[in-house]
Amino acid sequence: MGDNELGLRYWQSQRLTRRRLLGTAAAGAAGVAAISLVGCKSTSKSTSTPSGATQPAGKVLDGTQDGPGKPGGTLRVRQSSPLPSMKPFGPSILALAQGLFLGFTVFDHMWYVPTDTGVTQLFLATKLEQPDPLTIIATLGDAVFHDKKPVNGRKVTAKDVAASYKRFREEIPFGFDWTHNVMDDIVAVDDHTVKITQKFPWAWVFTSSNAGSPIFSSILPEEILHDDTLLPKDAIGSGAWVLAGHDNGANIQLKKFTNFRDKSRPLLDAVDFRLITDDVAGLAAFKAGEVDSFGFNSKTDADDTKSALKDKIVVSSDLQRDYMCLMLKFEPPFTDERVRHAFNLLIDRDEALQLLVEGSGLKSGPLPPAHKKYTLPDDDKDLQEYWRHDIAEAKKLLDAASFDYNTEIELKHSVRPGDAQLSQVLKAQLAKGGVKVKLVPEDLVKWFSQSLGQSNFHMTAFQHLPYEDPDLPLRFFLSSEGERKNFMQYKDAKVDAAVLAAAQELDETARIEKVKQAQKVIIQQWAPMLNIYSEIGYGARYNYVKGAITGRGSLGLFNQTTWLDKA
Amino acid sequence: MADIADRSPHIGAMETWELPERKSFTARWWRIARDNPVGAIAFVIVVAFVFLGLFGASFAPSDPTGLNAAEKYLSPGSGHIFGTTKFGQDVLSRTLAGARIDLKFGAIVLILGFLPGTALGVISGYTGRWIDYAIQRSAEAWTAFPQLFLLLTFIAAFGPGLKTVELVVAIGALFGGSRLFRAVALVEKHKEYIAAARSTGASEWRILYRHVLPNIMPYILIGLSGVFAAAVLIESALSFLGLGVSPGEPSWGADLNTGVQTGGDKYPWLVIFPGAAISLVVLAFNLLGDTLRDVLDPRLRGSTGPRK
Amino acid sequence: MMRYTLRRLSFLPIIVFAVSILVFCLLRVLPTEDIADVLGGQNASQQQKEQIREEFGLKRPIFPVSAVGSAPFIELHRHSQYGDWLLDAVRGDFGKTYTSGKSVREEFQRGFPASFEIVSLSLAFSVIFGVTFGVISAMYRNRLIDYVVRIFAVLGTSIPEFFLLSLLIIIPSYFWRYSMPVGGYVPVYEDPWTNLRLFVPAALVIGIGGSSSLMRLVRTTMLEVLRSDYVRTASAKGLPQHTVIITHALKNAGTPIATAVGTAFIAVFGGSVIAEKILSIHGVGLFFFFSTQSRDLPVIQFLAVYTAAVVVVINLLVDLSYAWIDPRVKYS
Repeated sequence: MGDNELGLRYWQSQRLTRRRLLGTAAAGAAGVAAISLVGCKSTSKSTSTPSGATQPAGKVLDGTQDGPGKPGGTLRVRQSSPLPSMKPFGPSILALAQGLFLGFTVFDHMWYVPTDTGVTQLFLATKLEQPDPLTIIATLGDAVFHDKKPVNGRKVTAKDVAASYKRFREEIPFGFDWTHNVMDDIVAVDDHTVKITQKFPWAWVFTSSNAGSPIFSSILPEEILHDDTLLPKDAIGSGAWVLAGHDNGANIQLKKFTNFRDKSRPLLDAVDFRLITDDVAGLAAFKAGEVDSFGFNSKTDADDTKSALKDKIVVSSDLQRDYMCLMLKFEPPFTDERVRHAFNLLIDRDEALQLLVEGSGLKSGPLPPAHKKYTLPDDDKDLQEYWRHDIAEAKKLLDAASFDYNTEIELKHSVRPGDAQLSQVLKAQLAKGGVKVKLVPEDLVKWFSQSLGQSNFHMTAFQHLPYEDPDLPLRFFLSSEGERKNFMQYKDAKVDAAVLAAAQELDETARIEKVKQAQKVIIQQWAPMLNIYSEIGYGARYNYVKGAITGRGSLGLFNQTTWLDKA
Repeated sequence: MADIADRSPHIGAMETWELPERKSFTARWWRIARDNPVGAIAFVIVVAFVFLGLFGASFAPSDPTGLNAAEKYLSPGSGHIFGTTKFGQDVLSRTLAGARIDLKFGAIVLILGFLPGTALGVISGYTGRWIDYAIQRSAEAWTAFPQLFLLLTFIAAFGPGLKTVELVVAIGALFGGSRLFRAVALVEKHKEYIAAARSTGASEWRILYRHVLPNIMPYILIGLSGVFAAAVLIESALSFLGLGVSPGEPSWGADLNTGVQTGGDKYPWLVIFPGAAISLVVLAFNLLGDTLRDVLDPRLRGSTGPRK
Repeated sequence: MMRYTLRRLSFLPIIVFAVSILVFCLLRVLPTEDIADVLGGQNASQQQKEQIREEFGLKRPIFPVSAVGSAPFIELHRHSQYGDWLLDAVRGDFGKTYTSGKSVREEFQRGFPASFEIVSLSLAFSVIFGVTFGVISAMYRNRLIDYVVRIFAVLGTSIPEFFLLSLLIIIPSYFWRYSMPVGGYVPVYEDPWTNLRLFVPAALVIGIGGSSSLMRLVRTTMLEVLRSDYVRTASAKGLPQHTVIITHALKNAGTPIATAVGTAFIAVFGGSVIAEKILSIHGVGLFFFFSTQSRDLPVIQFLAVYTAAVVVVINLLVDLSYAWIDPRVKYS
């Protein structure tokens, strides 16, 4: 696995493309922080079956499909931008990039929830109990930290876990996330037991958007949590990979942690990252065999590369969990539901798919299509209405709402090519209904922190991050309360009730129904975030790279089952 | 003898000498056009550019910012002479519409930069002393720097967007114009007609206005063409870098950039037509400027063209 | 002449100093937005924003001296943004970039060889091409070659460099499936073939495209010089034509040509941003471009100073060359 790497080149917005976004559990972090992703790109990839045929898209592989696997070897992966520091937290959003990268490699976690099954996989924890909806008791197995000063390979204890969660809570720049809003306290009952208490029940608590976040649930040794001299330079954890070296955050080298809690993992000896900032150069390096995997920007690139390299590589595709949306601020004219409905009717999702991703994607409802268990069936009446494209009807609604056709409405967007092009398409589609739109491109970080973050927009269009479960996509519709924030400043009691009901339903079957119901309510109320599509992502790896975990969300990014079939 | 007179028209002419008829205005310019065919063509192109800049969008066969998924990436052929873009937009339409941005930009630089610059230069050259010194030193300092670097620095301070660019380029035009016109003013200053006017008691301002200015007119025209040439080049360069117009708006530079990035090797028409448009228009302005220079003041012939 | 050089060189720090102050004002005093607002924006508390400001050193006063309302009317600061920057800068430390936290100087040094190569190659081609064809054009005035060269020159000023470079990449790819080794800068001593494959065609395009001004100037000056007395004397003496041209004519035309070469250098230097972007060469130009996009102030600061230094040095070299070319020019 391993293949594409995303780069956070902060403010280098043009360099960030869809392929590069990885889900972060950053609550409320709308599709922005491109993250220096290392290791397997969770999004695409399925490895080929021994006969060489490509796996059908969406087939789930758990790393055992290529057989037992040989230990050894070094995987070479592209890194598209240097990590500014090795500190996994910090007041600025830039820290998310580091936190994510390190969370998948150097640090261990108590558990992880893959997107496809939603079934919690135990990592450091050997037992998880929920005696009541507000309490979680985790029993930890044995593990040690990496053998580096001042930690020197000592045992991992519950105190480390509790202290780490709390430290992340202190340092997260966002107000709306599980550790702030839902978690009440986390304590070490004894050396091997952690107790978490919540302020209210939250059905999604274990997922990677919440307590199982690859960023915020990282376990660090307690003594270095406040060591600001050490943290930026070196990351010491108990994960499968030891940070062996880096050149100011570039060309990172990871080595296998021989004392990892799972002695059979990881299989590889090392993972080497090569800094290649430019996409074209990255593709060239992949073609030249200098890196072992790659994530493509478009299907055309994938096809071209396949015809160039033929059987040496395996190209795979997967429906992405990121999705495009148009967000309307809940103020006139968008306070009138007819206007929101009309705007939705003006959006031609099929055309957008054709123009922007050559048709290689699926239309999105209030919940992106990748969350197959939870999305409404295609023939659902409300979803049909959501996807309807009818200019005449839209005009009627706008007229009925006395819409002012003469004022130009601003549509702010970041300068990322994906966002910019999406905005152009939306502008043209809205224009067909007589709506005048003015495009306002902004710096990525400025857009995220100020325009989106402080709700300083009338309309904005962007690509959401690939969230691993329905929690965050639905949470965008929840009204602001306390530390919780709604970017659109939208408030609707019915939507709130439906979304909260789903979030607090602990029984999975019932929850699926409630999530579906919530989507219906969102559509019926014409909530002001209109989701457009999710695309299919393409990636490739050389045929000697085996054992990848794909289709299971970002689980594959831990890179523990990859092996190389090389002599 | 008759045959001598035939073979030597001068002899005959001397006997019937008369004042050559003063040709009409149009006849004179027609003559100039015939003598300078290249310049004439350039003039036509410039006029076409201005016309397109003002009305271009209405001549476009289809909406330059519309979308048409069915017609993506068509190569030039029937229906779309220049082919289509990723969004199915007709390249011809975009090319025609792209003139507007450059016209507007050039006009702003002209009005806010060059024209005030000419005034400044004339004042500077005419007045002399410390005003002259200050203005000239500043101009030298500013123009010594590569213009693109100056632009980038200002953009870093104030953010991308045409306004910042307009400001910086206008300042450049201001200084450029002032240097040119200072030289011209210095020349004019010492001419006889000024001494003559002064001797009749005309005030300095009146001299400037009634006498110096009309003689400077030609240089304004020449400078104008230079300013537009430079403006088109700079605007397209910046849009090419992504620091100019907002995305989606038809601009030759931005279209060129999009063309190169979306795979110029697969769809070369996306690159060729915008680039050709820029080159053609800049060429026209340059040639027009050269021709004007030749016609209006042959002494300036051979001097270097507009600064890159 | 030594003293002249030294005197001119002594202006360098003053100019650079002045430029640095101006740029500081431009970048820090005027803009209303603050990096803490941008970075920590969403939901960051005042305290967190202040922490960011602290991290980036923005809590210090900007200049070492500031005005106050009451006596003594000025206030001196031990630590100020400009003061600290200046003190570090004279020791060669230009701070850390905002984007990657790396030393500005290191990043610059990393990109410098590539930029140096493209600029010097382009300039070399520009001069060779410009002077050669300017001379030819003057010598064969009004013949076919002259017209061809002059058309070429006009085209050169009109066709934008980025268009030519784009064509340079696209055409071989479209017709012959040949792609330039874009994106990988390899130093010439490591892999000369790849390096030259990338740089030489590009430098040719830039150099030739940018040689128009030089070509025209050479032509004009040569025309004047060729008609002058001393050249006719030299020809009459029976000297071979190339000696006449090179030894006598060019040398006398040298001064304006030297100026034009200086201008050409500045032009190529400025154009390096575009060239590097198209070719994905990570040199100083691209460094500047990215830093502009990210509003990476320490980098812009440094690059402004660097540019000023380059401009001054080039101007000095051009002036000194006058003395070398024309013995009548003496500097005391």
